[in-house]
Amino acid sequence: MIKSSRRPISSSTSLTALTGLTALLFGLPVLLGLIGIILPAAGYFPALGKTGFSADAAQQFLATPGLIWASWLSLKTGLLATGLSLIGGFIILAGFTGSKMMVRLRRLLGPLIAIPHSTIAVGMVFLLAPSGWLMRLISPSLTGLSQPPLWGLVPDPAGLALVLGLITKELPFLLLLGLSASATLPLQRLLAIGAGLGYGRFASWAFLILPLIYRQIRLPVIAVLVFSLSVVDMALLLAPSLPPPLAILVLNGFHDADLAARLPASFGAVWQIGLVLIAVFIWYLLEQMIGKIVQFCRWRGWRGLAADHLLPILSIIAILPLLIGVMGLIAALIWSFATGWFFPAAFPASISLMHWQDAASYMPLVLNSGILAITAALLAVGVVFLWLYHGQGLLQQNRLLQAAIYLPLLVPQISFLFGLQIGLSWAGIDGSWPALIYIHMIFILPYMWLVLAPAFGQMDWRHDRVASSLGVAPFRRFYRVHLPLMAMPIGAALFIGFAVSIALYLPTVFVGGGRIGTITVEAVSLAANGSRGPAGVAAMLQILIPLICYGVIWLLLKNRFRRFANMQGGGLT
Amino acid sequence: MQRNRFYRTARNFLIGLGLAITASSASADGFVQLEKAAKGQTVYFNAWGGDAKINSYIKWAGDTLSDRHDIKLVHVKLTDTASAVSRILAEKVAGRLDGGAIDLLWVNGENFAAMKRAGLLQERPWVTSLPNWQYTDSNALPGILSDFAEPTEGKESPWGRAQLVFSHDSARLQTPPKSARELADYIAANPGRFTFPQPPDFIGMSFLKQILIELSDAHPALYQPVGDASFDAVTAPLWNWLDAARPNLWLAGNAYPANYPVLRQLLGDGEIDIAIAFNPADASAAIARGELPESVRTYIHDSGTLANVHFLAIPFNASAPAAAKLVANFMLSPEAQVKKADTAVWGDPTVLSMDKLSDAQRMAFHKLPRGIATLSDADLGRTLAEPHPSWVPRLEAAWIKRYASGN
Repeated sequence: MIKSSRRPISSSTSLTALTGLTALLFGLPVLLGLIGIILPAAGYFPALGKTGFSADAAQQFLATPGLIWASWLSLKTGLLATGLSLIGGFIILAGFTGSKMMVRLRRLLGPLIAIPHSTIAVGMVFLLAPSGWLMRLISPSLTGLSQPPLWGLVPDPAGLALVLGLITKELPFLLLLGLSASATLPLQRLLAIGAGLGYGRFASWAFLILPLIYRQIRLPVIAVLVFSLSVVDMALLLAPSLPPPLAILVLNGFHDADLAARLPASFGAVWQIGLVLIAVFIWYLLEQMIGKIVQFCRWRGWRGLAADHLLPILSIIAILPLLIGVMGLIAALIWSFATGWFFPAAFPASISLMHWQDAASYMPLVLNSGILAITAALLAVGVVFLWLYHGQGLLQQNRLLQAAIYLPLLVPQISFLFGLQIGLSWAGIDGSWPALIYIHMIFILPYMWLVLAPAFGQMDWRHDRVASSLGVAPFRRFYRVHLPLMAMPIGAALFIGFAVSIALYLPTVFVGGGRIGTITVEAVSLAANGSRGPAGVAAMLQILIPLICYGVIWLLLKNRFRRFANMQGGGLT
Repeated sequence: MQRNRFYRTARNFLIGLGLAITASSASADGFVQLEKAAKGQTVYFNAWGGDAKINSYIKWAGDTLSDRHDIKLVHVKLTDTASAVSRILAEKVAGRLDGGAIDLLWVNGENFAAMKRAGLLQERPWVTSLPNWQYTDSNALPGILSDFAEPTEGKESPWGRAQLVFSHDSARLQTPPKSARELADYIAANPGRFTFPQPPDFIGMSFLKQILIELSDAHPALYQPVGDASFDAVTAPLWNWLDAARPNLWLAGNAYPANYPVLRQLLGDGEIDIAIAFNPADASAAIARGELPESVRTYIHDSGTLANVHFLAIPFNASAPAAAKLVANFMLSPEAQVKKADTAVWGDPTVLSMDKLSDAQRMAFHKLPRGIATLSDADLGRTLAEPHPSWVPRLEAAWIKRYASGN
């Protein structure tokens, strides 16, 4: 009904064509990158005089020691991390929605999403290592140990530390998306219906609400799965190294001084895609299975009242990973001021500003990160609005275009960035600002589209019609009516955009070519090199920008657009 | 595309013209010309960035160069120098003959050999014409002319010296093991208290070479290009040593630290008893920064330890070769070398010859504090030469095949 009354502000074929073109432009780098991987994987690499196709690259890669273990490690950690993050997010939704706890958690979500993966990893290593903070806090008083034990939670050969690290990052993200999705549902009514039929709270959520939410966030869940399966920065710090997860094995090949090593590495990148496809297939089977189970429980009329007693305990367990994240951050903060902190002391022997004296030298990197994030996010919002006004039909009808937008999230980064780098280098624009902003933009955009498109779909167009009948011109209507109505979702989209851009590691390394450094690249390098003090400082600076952005957006929304808040759901606060 | 090609040709022609003009006058007062050409240029210096104190030294050099020569030095922090070599190679392959992403590279050993082989270095020798070359003495320190037995041919400028040293916490371990065999006994008697950086890490590989040289009594084959027969025969004692040690390494040999700063951190955390570094002053500097306890001391093995020189090289397609040479010259100056040798800054031994310095310059070196855990020059005297660089990739592959394939 609302749909039929929607009118574009102005319509022109050239703008619509532009929409299609931009959508293509977003898929193009990935496609180019894939070609740049598949050709060398098939043995074609003219630069090394290999102009024919052969299976040499494949054979060489398949002979890599420990390949099967590496692949199994990736598959296992990726599926576990995604599954547990989703379950945890859903339990928190079911357990805390409508309670004061949720209001508190919600405040924590923004900052948690803003913390880059590598920072969480730094904190976790220090928390859980054999000589880590947890062990120091209870030694020697409880353990009697004056030197660290021979075992620890990090690093563990099974990769569980990596799973925990990923959950700490992905759970808040899925929870935020779940909250945005649930804002579009008539929650109170659904819960009342459930209660009226005698279902418990848990069963009402599981049978009525969560399936609806899952339908909306399915794509980002798959994106989380792909990311977890091929993560690099976090795996460098948390994953076992004998053998490492597949993505790191492949990355080592690309960084080998011997150029010929790139051919088997390219095949490895293709192998990584295969692994992702297997994981997505397993995920699909799990979806079907769980769907059947839910159906069966519904059919049996299971009311699940007993499960309601368990819900609070489960919810608290689900919050634990978030607490570990926060505690790791506190540890990083203490390290940035610490000198002489040796096992088994629970706190540093002395506090100094020594490491912070270097903070000034990191400022150019912080500035780079900030410029990159803000430019890319603002441009991305512009492109999304162009699509919303001039290409919604186009994008909805054309599934290929839709897929093009999400492609950067659905193809593992390691599998196309190298090919993309060759392409950019050939065009002579690698390591340039426009190229880097463009690449950041394609990674941000899918998330913005996810947040903004449903909100736009729900915009109350009656306000627009009133303005129109008062003779307000189209652009003024956009500025005075649509933007305020969309302020909350725009704020949320911008914030997610900033956070994603700041945290991007691999794309920045490959496309920035070392010439454009960001604070995240620096922080990963410092942390991987064991300098806890400087890494702590870098971690604090890394959170700084997203937190400032979060604060600014929050204040702006609160003071300027609050009166519109009730006209639209799905905001940030 | 067409236009792009035209643009490149035109640019190459103009640059060629410029180079011809500079080259003709270079013989007259080459360095003044170099300084003029370098003014305002940005030098992308790709150097391993894993150590905060090295990073701040490079920052100091950048600030000084910016003040004196109007050169902007950008430190591109690498986690692995091989990745930079691979980048230059990729540029060569893509036909980028100038305007490359890397102007100056911190390099030695296997990576230098690889660059030389693939023609990735400046074509013409440039090092001996640097004004500060006069302070070096290749008779006293032949290592500045041959990098892991590979002749440098004036294509990389010496920057510093390194020697493998072990460090231990004297509060926990009074008499450290001073040979490969003693170390094996120590590991067997103290499970979980020793490890080394995971190959192909540079220090990890150096440790393997050290053990190999000791166990094989510096087998002559190690100083020749590696062959299949000699590799298996010569390395057998090393694999036996490692096989025996592995179950008693840190975390039962299921994981290794990524590099030597992480290893040093483990010593500081008390998780291990012995750490390794390729810098005699590393432990002292770490004590000064509060990263290691005051009771840490260093030692070397009785048979001596690996020693080598590290260098600065300019890729063939550097965007700012003139400025890069100026940076290399500054890094070789007595002023920059004294600062680098200071334990409070970096503690990297100088490549300059004391005999060639003025009295004042020599005094500056002699006045440097030694550092609480740093050995005297006499104690460091026993050194082992690096094996031929061709051994490194073979050792690397063999180690990975044996120990990195999971259980």
